Amino acid sequence: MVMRPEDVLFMMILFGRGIVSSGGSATDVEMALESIGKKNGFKTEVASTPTVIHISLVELDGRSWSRIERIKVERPDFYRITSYRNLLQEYLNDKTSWVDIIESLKLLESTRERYPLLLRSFCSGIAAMAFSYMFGGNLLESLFSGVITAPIFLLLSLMPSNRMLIDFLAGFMTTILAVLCGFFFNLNSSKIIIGSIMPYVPGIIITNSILELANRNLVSGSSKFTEAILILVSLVFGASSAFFVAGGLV
Amino acid sequence: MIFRVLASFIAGAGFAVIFSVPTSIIPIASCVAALGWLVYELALGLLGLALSVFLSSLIIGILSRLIATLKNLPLQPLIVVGIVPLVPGSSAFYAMQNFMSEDLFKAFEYSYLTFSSASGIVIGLVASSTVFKIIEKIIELHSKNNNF
Repeated sequence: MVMRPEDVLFMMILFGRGIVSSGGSATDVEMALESIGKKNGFKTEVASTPTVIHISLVELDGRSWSRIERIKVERPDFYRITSYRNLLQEYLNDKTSWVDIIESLKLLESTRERYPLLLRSFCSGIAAMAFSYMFGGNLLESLFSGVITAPIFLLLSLMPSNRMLIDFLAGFMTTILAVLCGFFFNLNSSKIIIGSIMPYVPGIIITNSILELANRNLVSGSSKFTEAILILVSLVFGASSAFFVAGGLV
Repeated sequence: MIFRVLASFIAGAGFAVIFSVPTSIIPIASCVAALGWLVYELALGLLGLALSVFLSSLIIGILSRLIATLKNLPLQPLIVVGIVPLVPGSSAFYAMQNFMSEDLFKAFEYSYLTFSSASGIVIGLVASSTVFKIIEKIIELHSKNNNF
C-alpha cells in the first residue's frame, strides 16, 4: 500500500509525540522526523519543543501539509525511547511495512511502566543511599537516606497531583524526616537530605537543556532550563518550610 | 575511593530502573557510570572541578558510543546513566537553598559550581562525538589499507 502524505504526517506525529513525552531531546525528535520525511521524498521542516511539535511536509511541486501537536510531558522512559528508536530503524531499513509500524506505534503509546512501582521505589532508595555515601555521608547516614527516600517516592508516585506540588512535598517530607533522624541519632542531616533529594533534583534536565542550547535549539533548551529552575524552587521551598517546622519540633 | 566508585555503580543502576532503562542495558550503563566517576575522582585533585568533569564526560561519551556501535545498543540511556553521578544536582540544590536564605555569596558560589559542572559535561559530550568520528575514520582507513 502506498503511503499518502497524511499517513507520513500521522506516523511522524506518533513518533514525535512518543519520543518527546518519554523525555527525548528536541534534537533527536527533529532528526528522527526529518529522516522519515526524507525517506518519503518530502522536504521536511520540524520544530520541537518539550510541549509542542510543529511538522511541515512540502512536495516538489510546492504543495504542503502541516500539523501542530500539543504534547503532555511525562517522566523519562528510556524503554520507550529505545523501542521508538528500534521501530524507526526498522522502518528506515524497510524491514517492516509502514502499516505494521503504525500499529506498533499505537501499541507502544499505550504501554504501561516497564518496572513495577515498588521496584522503582526500592531502587530510588538504593540510589539515594549511594548518592549520600558519594557526597561524604557515613554508612548510617546513607542508610537513613535510603530508608527515607523509598517510601516517600512510593507515596508521591501514587499521588495524582501536579509536578510542582510533588516536588514541594518531596523537599518537605525528606527534610523533615532527615532532620528528625539527625536529631534522634546524632547524624549530619544535610548528608541524609542531599542523598534523598537526588531522585527529584533535575540535574539531567539542566544538562540536557545546556546540551540543547549548545545545539542552537534555543526554545527547547531555554524552556527545559526554566522547568529545571521551577523544580528546584519547589524542592528548596519544601525543604526550607520543613526546616522552619522542624526547628519548632526539635 | 573504591567504595565511592562502587556507590556510583549502584547509583547508576538505581537511576536506570527509575528511568525505565531496558534490563539488558542496566549493567553496562552502570559500569560506564562507575568508570566515569573513577576518572572524575582521579582527575579532581590534578585538574580541578570543571576539567575533571569534562575529562570524565569525554570518556563516558566515547565509551558509550563505542559500546552502542559494537553492541548495537541505543546511545542515550548509556550516556544519561553514565553521567548521572556527575550531574550537578547537589550544587544546584544548595545554590537555590542559599538564594532563598539570602546568602548570596554562597548561592553564587554554588551556582558557579553548577554551571561549570554542567558546561564540563556538555562540552565533554560534544567533544566525545567529534573524537569518536575521528576514531571511526582512522579505523576505516586502517582496514582499507589492510585490504589492499
